[in-house]
Amino acid sequence: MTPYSETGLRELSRFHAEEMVYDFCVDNLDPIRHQIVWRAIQADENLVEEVQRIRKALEYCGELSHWPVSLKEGAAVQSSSRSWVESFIERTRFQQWPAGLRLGLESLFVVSAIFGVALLLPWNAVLDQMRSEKGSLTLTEMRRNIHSGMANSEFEPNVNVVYEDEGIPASVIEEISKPEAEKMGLVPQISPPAPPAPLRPEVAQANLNPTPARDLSSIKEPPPSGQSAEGTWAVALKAPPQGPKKGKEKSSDTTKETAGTLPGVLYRGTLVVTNVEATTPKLVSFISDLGGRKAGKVPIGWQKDSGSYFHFTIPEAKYDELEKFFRDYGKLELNKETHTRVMPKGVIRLIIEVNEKKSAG
Amino acid sequence: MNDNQVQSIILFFRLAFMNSTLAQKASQETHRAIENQLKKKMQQSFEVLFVRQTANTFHRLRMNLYKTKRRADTHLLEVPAMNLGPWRDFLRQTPDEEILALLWVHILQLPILAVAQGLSVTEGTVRHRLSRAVRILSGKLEPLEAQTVRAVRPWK
Repeated sequence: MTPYSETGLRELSRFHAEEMVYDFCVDNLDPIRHQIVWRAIQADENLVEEVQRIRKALEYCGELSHWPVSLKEGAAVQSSSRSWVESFIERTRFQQWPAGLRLGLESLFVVSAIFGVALLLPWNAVLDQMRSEKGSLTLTEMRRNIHSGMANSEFEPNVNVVYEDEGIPASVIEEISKPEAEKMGLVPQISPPAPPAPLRPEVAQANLNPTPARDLSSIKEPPPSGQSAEGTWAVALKAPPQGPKKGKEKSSDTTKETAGTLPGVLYRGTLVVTNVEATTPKLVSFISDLGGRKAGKVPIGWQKDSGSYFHFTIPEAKYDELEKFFRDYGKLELNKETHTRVMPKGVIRLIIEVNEKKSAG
Repeated sequence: MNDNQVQSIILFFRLAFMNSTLAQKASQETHRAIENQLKKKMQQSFEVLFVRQTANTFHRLRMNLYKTKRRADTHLLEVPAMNLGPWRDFLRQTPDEEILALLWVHILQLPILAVAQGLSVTEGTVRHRLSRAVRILSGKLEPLEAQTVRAVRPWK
């Protein structure tokens, strides 16, 4: 019961009545609302006219819904919306053909398609493309004229060729670096910029004809220290050397120059220090800073029983600096010898053995 | 799809565009779209698919009607014993949503629930559009009725 009506029911406003006229016309109201709206409509002539207009509009819509659509138009829509394959299948009644005939025609169609593709496809171009995709990868290039043993100034500057270490037993080398020894003997190692060096004929031959594994037993055991494996001789040089400066040669009595008929040069010497263990790392780091690279199979500063072993190459211009640095640590004796191995221009090879000073008395 | 469903598509676009060429094109596209949807075996009734696809096609092709200047009255569709003038007036002056609601519910007799599901709106929204569309259509019909009355009773 509301306080604003006599019967306790809220009266329908004109606005609500107008909005509910459509629902009244389409019978979308519950019985109570239907009666209330009907009462409101009867009380207002405008609402009566509104109801009549709406009912006429609904009748007009009914007439439009009976607009005839011919079957031809429907068939035209259905046929045009199908793909040509579907329309062809429907016209020929393909689904009603015998199963064997249908399967035979389908297989014939597939075989024809494959045959057509095989005929039209340019197989030569496809195969050429496949071959070029596999491709070949060039890692390094080497010139064949190194067999003559001449100084190969055109050698790849980034290739560091490893030689046998002189004075180190082969069994020791094999023990400490067996995998590396097998590889280095076959392929030149590519390292950061290092002084180039020509190949020994044996190594060059091995590189040109790579073998899967190299038998280290074939490497001859070098002779005892003091003699080179190739039988080089420490002979006085006939002509003064071009590497170290002539002025410094006079001051350094410990560096002896030798001359010989062999084309290569090797600096061999010893350094006597008070503490080999403490001095070796410093020498190794200094040589690395100068741009030195190991020239043998063992690393620079390899620890021997009685000291350490340095077999390396450095730029020729750094020789004086190296000599001065080594002398700061002890007594240095260097001999310049000839050798069959020829280093590229501007690069020298050194073998220095660092021994501990024997205490007097 | 059966013939009645195809005919309902044709009738919808015929009344929506009042252009035979555009109506045929729209009918073909809608028929193809509904066929594809039915092949996918989606769990939706035909009425919902019908509402969705016809709405999409109508909105897409509606612009073609004005872009190519193929107005509704260039291809006259005459119905025997029927005056389409009020309907054309109704199409020109009524929003698209209300035209579609009237077409679906009162001409094609689709349930309001299916229309609401197809449009992803509530039933109240559909009824509101219907009431507005019917009022506008009733207003287009009134002058014709008034002229007819004067012709029948000239002494008034």
